[in-house]
Amino acid sequence: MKVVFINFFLLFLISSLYSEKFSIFANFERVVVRANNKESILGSLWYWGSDEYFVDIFFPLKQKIKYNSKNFYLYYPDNNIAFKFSLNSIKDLIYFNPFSAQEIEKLVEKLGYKKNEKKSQNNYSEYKKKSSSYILVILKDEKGRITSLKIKDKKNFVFAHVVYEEYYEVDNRSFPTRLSGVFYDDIRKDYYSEKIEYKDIKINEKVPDEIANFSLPQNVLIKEFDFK
Amino acid sequence: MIKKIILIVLCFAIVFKSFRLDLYASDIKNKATIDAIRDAESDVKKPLWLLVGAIGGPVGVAFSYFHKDYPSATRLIGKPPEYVLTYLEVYRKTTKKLKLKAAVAGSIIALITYFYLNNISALNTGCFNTSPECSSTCAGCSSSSIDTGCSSVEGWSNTGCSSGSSGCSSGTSGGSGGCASSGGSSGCAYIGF
Repeated sequence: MKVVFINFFLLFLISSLYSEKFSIFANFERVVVRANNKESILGSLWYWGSDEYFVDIFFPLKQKIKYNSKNFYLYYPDNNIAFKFSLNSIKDLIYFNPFSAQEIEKLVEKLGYKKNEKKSQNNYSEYKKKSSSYILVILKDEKGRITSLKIKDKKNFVFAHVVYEEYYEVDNRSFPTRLSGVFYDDIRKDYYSEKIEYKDIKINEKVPDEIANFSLPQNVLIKEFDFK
Repeated sequence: MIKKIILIVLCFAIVFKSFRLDLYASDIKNKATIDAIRDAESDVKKPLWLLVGAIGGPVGVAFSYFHKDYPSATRLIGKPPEYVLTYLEVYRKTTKKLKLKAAVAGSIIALITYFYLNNISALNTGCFNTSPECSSTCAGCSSSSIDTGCSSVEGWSNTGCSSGSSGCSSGTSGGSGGCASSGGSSGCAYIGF
């Protein structure tokens, strides 16, 4: 459950929400801080169609990430090595989908959570699931955009808190360009914070062929990882 | 002479560089190992696997062994290949070990609980005694098991063990021949309630 909705395994679900062709390009910076250790990652993201991603990391090392409806690849051009994962073996690529924020309520409901009407009012919504001890709290602004998501237990301990800010508006859509969160593990011993910011956003640009049709070079060593 | 010095310096440079590379690689592997163990400990729901072991017994333990856990992809983003390899391997091993340990512990707890509850129910029958003397002399007990002593299904009131007497003479005192409790050293000591 620590894996929260900015990086949740929603790709399957997102595909049904954005069926028409639409593309987005953005540069991003991701910062993870854990126990005084700060890690920064710089890269760019292409998202197009309903379920295709290409992430190009250029700091701290060169790494290319390709996702389609079947596979997920981590490719290291400098090392000439790639890791291949099958679709159901990677949980949370949605991290790079900035649209997930606007669709969280639909997605939460698809995951079996139901709105607690008694406790929900105006811009405050609570969601519960019978088989789960977690309570999800979603806050929205006056425009109906999600500003915060909390996951807490019955004793009100917040395991995760994600804040969505700096909305970008385009074609009647909007998505946050700054997401930040604090995540605790289930035993509350450890936590980390994470922030991702999208910049230089371009909408509906043609996806370059080398990205849209990206395939691994023939001489690359591919390691398929299987958890057997 | 100069050639020798250059050669020595070059040798040192090569050794130093390879040493630094080794250090770098081992640093990455150490970090990946630490991260993988931490994430695995956080991801594995131990109470759940305890329950699986308790309910499923050997089947639950086997299930815990074969069940797969997958790490989060975001943990691999921006990490070098050595890190990814080590992380995935350690994560796989650690989650498997943790699940297996929890399931085995669950099975053992369930087993102990089962025997404990069985003994309690035997005690409730009133004539539980491991003493061979009792088991041999409790005439009223239908059970012949020495281990369970007189854990008769008939109940303790008509097992024929009398208290205060020496041994377990059937049909003596104790009302209708029952074990009238507090047998003390009688050999048919009532250790239940």
